Amino acid sequence: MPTETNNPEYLIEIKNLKKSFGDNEVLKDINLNVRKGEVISVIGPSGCGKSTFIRLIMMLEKATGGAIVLDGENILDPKSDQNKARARIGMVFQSFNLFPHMTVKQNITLAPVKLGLMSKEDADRKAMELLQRIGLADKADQHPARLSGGQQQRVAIVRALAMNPEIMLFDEPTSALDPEMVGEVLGLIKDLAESGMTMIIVTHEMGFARDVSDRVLFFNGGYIAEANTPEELFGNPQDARLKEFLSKVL
Amino acid sequence: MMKKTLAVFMVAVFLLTIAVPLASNTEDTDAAGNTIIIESSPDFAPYDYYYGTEFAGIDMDILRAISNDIGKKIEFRPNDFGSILTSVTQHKCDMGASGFTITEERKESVLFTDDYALIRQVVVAKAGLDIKTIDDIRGKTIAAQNGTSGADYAEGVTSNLRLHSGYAQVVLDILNGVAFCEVVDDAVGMAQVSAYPDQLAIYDVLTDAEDEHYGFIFAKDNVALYNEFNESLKRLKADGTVGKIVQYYVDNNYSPNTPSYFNQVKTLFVLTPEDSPYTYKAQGRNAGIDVDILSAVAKEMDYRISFIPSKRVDFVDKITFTPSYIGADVTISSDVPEGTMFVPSGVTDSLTVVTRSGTSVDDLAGKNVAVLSFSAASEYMVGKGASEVREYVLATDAVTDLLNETRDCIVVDTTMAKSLSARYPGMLSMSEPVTADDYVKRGYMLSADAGDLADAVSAALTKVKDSGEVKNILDYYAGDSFDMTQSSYYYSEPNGFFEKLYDKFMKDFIDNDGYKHILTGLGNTVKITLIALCIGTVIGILAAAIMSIHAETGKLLIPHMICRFYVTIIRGTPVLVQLLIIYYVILVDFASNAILIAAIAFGLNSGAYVSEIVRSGINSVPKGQMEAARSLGLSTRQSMTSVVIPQAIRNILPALGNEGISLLKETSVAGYIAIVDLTKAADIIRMNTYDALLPLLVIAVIYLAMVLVLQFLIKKLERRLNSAY
Ligand SMILES: Nc1ncnc2c1ncn2[C@@H]1O[C@H](COP(=O)(O)OP(=O)(O)OP(=O)(O)O)[C@@H](O)[C@H]1O
Ligand SMILES: [Mg+2]
Repeated sequence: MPTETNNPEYLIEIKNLKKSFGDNEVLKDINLNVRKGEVISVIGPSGCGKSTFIRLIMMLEKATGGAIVLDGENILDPKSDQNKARARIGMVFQSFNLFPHMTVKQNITLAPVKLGLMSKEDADRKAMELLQRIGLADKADQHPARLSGGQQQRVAIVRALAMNPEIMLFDEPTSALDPEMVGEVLGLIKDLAESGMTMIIVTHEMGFARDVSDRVLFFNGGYIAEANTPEELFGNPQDARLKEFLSKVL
Repeated sequence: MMKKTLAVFMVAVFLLTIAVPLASNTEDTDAAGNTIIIESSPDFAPYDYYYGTEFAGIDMDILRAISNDIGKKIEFRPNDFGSILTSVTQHKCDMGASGFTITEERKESVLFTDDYALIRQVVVAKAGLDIKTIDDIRGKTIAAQNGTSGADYAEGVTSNLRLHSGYAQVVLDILNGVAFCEVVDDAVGMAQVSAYPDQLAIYDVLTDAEDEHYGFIFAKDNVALYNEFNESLKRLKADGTVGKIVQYYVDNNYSPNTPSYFNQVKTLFVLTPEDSPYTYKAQGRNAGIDVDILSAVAKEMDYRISFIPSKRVDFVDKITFTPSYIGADVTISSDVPEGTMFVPSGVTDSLTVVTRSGTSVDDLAGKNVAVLSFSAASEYMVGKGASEVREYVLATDAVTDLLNETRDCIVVDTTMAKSLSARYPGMLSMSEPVTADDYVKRGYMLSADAGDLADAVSAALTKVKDSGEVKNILDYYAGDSFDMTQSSYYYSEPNGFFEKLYDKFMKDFIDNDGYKHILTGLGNTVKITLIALCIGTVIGILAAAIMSIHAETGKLLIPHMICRFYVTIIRGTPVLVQLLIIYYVILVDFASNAILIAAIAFGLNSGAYVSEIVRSGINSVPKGQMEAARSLGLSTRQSMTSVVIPQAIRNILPALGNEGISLLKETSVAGYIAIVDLTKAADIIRMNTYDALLPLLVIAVIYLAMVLVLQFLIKKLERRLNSAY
């Protein structure tokens, strides 16, 4: 039974979330409460619905059923302002998805300025501050095509951060990267985690998941098959599928 | 990239800002709207035609007289004959004037004024054919203009009809031998023949054709204007104005080279007997000593010159009736005919006795002598004791009588004597001149009322003489013994392909100001294309955005369906049909700015194609771009405009450029709604000169040049875009 009352302890409450693509029931019943500042990793075999889960939270897909409650408001309710909710959530894609026709700085300032959250000057200042932090201030006026994959993904992260999101979603942020660039991106995410950002990270990097997470979720068969602290989940897996999965990836 | 997109956008805005005012300036309709727009098919000399870029003809001038009479401004607009009636009934224009025969059938749809011209159908065919009765054309291929009485008549005579929208094609059909003949209003046929005197002839064999009357046409509900015009026409018929105008064109042999009755001042009208070395025709063109001297005079005066073939006998009548006429090839006599005066050209001559070869006449006493009318010889013969002195109008008749021994000799100007010797080689003998070299004084006959003209001509003549030009001209003709085959001193018959081409080019584009039509047409084509491009781009992007947003979110169902409908209809029907529907059905009440209507029609058409191009451009932007934008909190619309469309446009700029090129070429059908675009300009030149090849070639080159320039720009743009962001 899902709890109907909102616990102010939780930033996001996900209740009975379902998603089907036609006959393909990808997510059958997902329930998850995320505390403020919590870092959650999502692992699971390919095709188990990790991306779908993240995209549902971002409302890039339409859920088949259930609720996602953000600050007491069910954002899946058609009456809620989904654009506003999206602005409060940051998302980082596997393929970066920087806007190729804009400079790095324009990528970062576009949304805050367009949505009237900041003046152009403030947004510029903030963008430069963020770029400074990730050591890419000198690339501010270049187009993304001139940047390496690792640099692009860090810019994508900073772009999401510029909106001051309450929660950040990552969908395999390093899988499209050459191995030597994985470190710099994971390093940045780790810094974020340590700064207290609430995050849900879909990843194949088990070591990273163990390192950075407060909780790790194992998706299988349309459900969260196992959820636990990284030490417990990796050290003492219960679910048979999880055991099999870990034996393959570790 | 942002800068480039901005630049492209700014260029578009700039073009729009210059295009729109241009478009609104195209028609001279003044703000009060009281300029009367008159549609006419200007390939209908002597009633409606272009003289240079000005409308001339009997219709036009009667309307100018009416315009003066009632104090209303008028403006002529060219349209195909077959379209004018609809234009009038739909109030696209205020009235039609294009030699409309008054018929019961037409009276059902329009109001006719009183008649102003009486005509009959005749046959025009190649000269020298044996067409004696109507049976000689039965079953033959007959050309006619669509919707005319001639077409109706021809239909009863043959089943091989070639119907055209203009007379230029009809005449070309005959000249090219595609059609055997045409059936046409008599005056119009005469005008055509006067344009091709050596190649065409009138055969007046349609004995059963009924008399027809022309009237001007108005929309049925335009009664006030109709009454105003009709009352004025009645007045002008009664006071002889209409008669004067018609007579003016008759005097000019209905030649399409006749300027408007109201604009004669700038032309020297020269009556030419065409039978002596002073005025004659060589290869269908005017030549001769007087022709060239007067051409030089006209040039000096900055006048045009127009030659009107006329017998000397008629000179006095014509000149006293129309004081702007100048009789050329005239011997100055001591008794000046009443109402005229002479202006000496300074050219003098002696008299010579011409005899049959091998004979001579030393003493004229007792001889049977031939002289030419209006020459100095009659006066010279007084008191010479000849047994008979017979005057001949034609020198050739005199020679015939000399050779068959009816006459003993011809006493004639030495120049003419030389000319006859050259034309009858070995058959004639010439005496030494029998008078002093300046016995015969040559010159021109003018009206006694034309003192100013006489002064101006004399002054110009002095200048031409002083410059040595008259001597050059005389030497030029003397070189060939005045044999009357030489072309004009100022015009050498073109030889070879390129010279002929050059000659045609001058005739098509320079002599009759044809290039001005081309420039007007080019301007309109560019205007229509630019405005349509702007309209099309805006509509296209809008429609594409609506359809894409619908595909993305399922919203905007109704606008989406409207867009789909629009794209399907536009892409599924010919652009010409769309243009006509918009002109005749949808924007019926949209005043008279045809150019704007065309721009709207072509813009709507282009928009459908642009929308498909933009849609494919939008689809070419990876889905992740939209998702990234949305995940930042931007709305679908904001994501579209800031992220997807700028990238899409960059991807499709080359395709958009190609659409611009197609659009430019498609505007060539704008002529169907009474617009003088580039293609129609070529049409108009063909109406004037009956030359189809060069005007079409020239506009093809202009279109090609514009397309090549556009292609070059697109290539350049593409190269810049291909360098990564
Ligand atoms: N738009 C879609 N339409 C139809 N089926 C889809 C769609 N998106 C995902 N699926 C299906 O949903 C299932 C889950 O896909 P998802 O991308 O969420 O898996 P994943 O766990 O992220 O896998 P991976 O580890 O390979 O990224 C798959 O079977 C996939 O084929
Ligand atoms: Mg995935």
